Amino acid sequence: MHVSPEKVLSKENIYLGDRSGGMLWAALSFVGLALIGVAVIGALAGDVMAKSVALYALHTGALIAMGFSIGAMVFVMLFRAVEAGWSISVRRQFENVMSLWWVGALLIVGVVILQMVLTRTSEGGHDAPYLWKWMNPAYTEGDTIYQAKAAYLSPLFFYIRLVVYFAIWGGLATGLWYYSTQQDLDGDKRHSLHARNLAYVGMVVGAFSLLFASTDLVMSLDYHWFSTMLPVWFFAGCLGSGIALVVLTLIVLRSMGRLHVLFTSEHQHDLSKLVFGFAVCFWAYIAFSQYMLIWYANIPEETAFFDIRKQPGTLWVIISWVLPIAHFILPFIFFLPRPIRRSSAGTAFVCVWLILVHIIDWWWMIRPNIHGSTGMHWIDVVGVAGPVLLFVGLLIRKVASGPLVPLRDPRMYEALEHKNYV
Amino acid sequence: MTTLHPDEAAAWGLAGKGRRGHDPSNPDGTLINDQSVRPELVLGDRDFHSVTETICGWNEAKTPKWWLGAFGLSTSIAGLGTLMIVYLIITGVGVWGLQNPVAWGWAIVNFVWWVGIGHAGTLISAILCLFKQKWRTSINRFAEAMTIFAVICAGTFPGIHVGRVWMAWMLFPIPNSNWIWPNFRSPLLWDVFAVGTYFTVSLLFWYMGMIPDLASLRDRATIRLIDKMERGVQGTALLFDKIAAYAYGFLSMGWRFSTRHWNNYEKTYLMLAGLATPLVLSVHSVVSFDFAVSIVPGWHTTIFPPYFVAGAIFSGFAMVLTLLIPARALFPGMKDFVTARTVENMCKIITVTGTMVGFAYITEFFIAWYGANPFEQQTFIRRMFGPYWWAYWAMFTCNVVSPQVFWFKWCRTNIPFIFLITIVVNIGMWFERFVIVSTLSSDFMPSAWGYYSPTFVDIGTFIGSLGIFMTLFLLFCRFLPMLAISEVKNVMHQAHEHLHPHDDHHGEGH
Repeated sequence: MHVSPEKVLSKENIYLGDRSGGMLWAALSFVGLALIGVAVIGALAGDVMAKSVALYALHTGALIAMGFSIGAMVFVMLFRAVEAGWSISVRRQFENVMSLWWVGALLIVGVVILQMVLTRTSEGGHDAPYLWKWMNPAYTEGDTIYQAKAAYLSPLFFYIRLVVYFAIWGGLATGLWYYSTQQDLDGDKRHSLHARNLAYVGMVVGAFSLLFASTDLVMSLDYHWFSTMLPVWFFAGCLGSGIALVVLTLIVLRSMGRLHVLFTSEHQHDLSKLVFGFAVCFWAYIAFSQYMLIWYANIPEETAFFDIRKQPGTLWVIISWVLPIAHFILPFIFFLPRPIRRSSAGTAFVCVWLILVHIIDWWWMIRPNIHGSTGMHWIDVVGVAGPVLLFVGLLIRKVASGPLVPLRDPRMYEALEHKNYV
Repeated sequence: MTTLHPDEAAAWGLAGKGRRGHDPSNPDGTLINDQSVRPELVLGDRDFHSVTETICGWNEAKTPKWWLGAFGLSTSIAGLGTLMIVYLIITGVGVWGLQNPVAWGWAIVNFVWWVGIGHAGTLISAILCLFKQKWRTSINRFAEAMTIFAVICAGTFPGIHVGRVWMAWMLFPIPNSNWIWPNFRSPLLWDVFAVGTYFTVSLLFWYMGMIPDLASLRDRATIRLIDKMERGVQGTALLFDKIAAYAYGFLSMGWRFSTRHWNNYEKTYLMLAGLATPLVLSVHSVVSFDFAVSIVPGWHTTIFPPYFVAGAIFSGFAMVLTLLIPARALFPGMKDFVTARTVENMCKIITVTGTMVGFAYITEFFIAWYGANPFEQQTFIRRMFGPYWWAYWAMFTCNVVSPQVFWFKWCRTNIPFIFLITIVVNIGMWFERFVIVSTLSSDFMPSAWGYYSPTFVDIGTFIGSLGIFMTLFLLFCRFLPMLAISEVKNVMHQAHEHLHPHDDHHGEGH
């Protein structure tokens, strides 16, 4: 297929336009912020349970927002590192999601601040509202397991580590974004080379930052429990949700008459394979391996995690059954046929579905750590939906603010020619 | 179509070399760093005919002297291994160094090592196929063959370790007179299925891919035969061509190069690639379950499945390179297909997977500390500073430190150095499994602690398995098409119609 570059790179094809989505992004962000505000008010004015729930829900929402950016960033680094040609016309959307890393970071900082405020304003004691229970001296008193890891789980060290993670993620995202957008302006091939080298280093540094970040932000919520697979599970969630959000963005853009030739059903097909591979299969592989090994060995210090989530009469046990079906079996069967992967509606549906089950997965990973809580609180919905809507709103603004594709990438011609059957 | 882009000088500038013109350290010209071109995949200005001539020529030429020497050596070593196995069977498993509590010794180490090596072939042929990595076409046949032979070596060890080999069939769930069934909850049984499935699918994949090339060899042998007969040659002078024509004819299963055949071939290829991909992950995950389902400190950790898979690909790529580098030097013209770029890419994969393995070591170590389980912590301290400290540090140095050299371009392009590193990686991956097994020597009961050492039978069997592997491999090199001829042709620029009508400077080997 021969296409004229002028037509493909015309303004109508590769810009969303300032007006499009102008109201939508503002409305979504406003609703998101309002929901976050409601959750914060609930935390400040509610009872002990409401305070705890607000902390956990906002934390879940913040992590999901952060996870979108991390997942998208990993794909950008992957494409850069292997010098992928086919994905160049869709790379900007990954970079857009990646560049919003600060949303998740600010939200996590907000959760830490809310935790500090609640610590000061509410009554102390064993059941005080704590997201990181190991920060509660009344809770860890006489706890030998805590003593053994107190050197790592100390608040000051924890805050320092958070700063380091954000510096790493922010630094990588900013660098990758800079090289890509700078190339739009000057067309210098060297930017591709620099981005590739940054990606090599970023993969290594990013992997270690995720190991410790997932320990701090997820595993330490139940600081007695440990699993070497948890960082990989966290990583799988980031990857799956990140790419699902990007594919959804691309399909919406195409439905608005953009990205002609730049995002064809060929690109969609290959992206869908990655969604299928990471959000469905890789997640299931990791989640199953972790569960199977813990179930099989049946050691109390490890089974505690699944014990809470298998208590009869709780919402957690229902989700424990829903997840393998909704996060693996159903999408696996539905998304396996080629026609679905190439259809806009089918793929968009799967992406929305996968993002929703991902939210449930992470909520289920984090939320049952509140003692004595067996189900959902209205603040859960508000606290999780707020950050997610805020992120989506800001993403719309970001997408509309610049070109939808890299403009002068030296390998763009490969992406334009991309086919699945050669 | 030149090999090098006109921008070559600029590319070298970008790479920080500051050199101009043809670079002596880059003799085959594929190591360009320019982001706007793709390097050629096949060098030497070849046409399709010369590809067939070269690749079939390796099988049709007179047997090289080095081959005879190498084959003699390999079969002798294989014979030594066979003797050891016979001695084991007639005497009993007591001839190995096993002792309570080290009930798993070199046999499981060798098994896991060989199975791990057997992962690269299917990764290259299936996963890299799905990822459309076209540089893989020159190495996939080679790697698949290596996979098959490695899995054969791996399968030997569980087979002989049962002691009474004639009862090995009871591994399979076959009804028998005593109604004894294998334990379906045991990962050792899952191993039988996982490795069996993997072997079957890999074999099918390898064989199916070879059919068109076997047909080429058949046709060439037949033509030679007819040619000789027309020239009046008779008797034993025709013998080898007759055997070749019949053997390749039998193996190529009536392949006639028709469009319909190719259509079926392509479909089957893709389907087998899809089926083999989960198998690459599942086999070593199941092997990791052998250890991880137990409650032995240092064995039970949830990251084992992906960590074992990464390690398997790591060792497999190292072994492919160990074999490929000499082959590339010994078979004339092979460097045109297995270019410096291909070798460089493989080095990069070794670094990636080696770093993943290192990441898993550090995760394990960190969580052992973080988990605050004194037994787990003691195990890791004993691994590092206990009686087997040398094994731990050998493992860590070989697996994590040594592949990091490939961050430097000099290391990735210096062939003898790469060869050295691949050997180091193979050693390191053997030690990785040995470290896991030697943990058993200090279990929960300190009164039972001891020092596990192999006997000469352990060592002889392992070395013998290397001989079996090399023997099979040399046979493959001599008698079967080493490169996938049709796939190589498919990535040459002649195979593609001109994609850019206005284009006179883009590389077309992509």
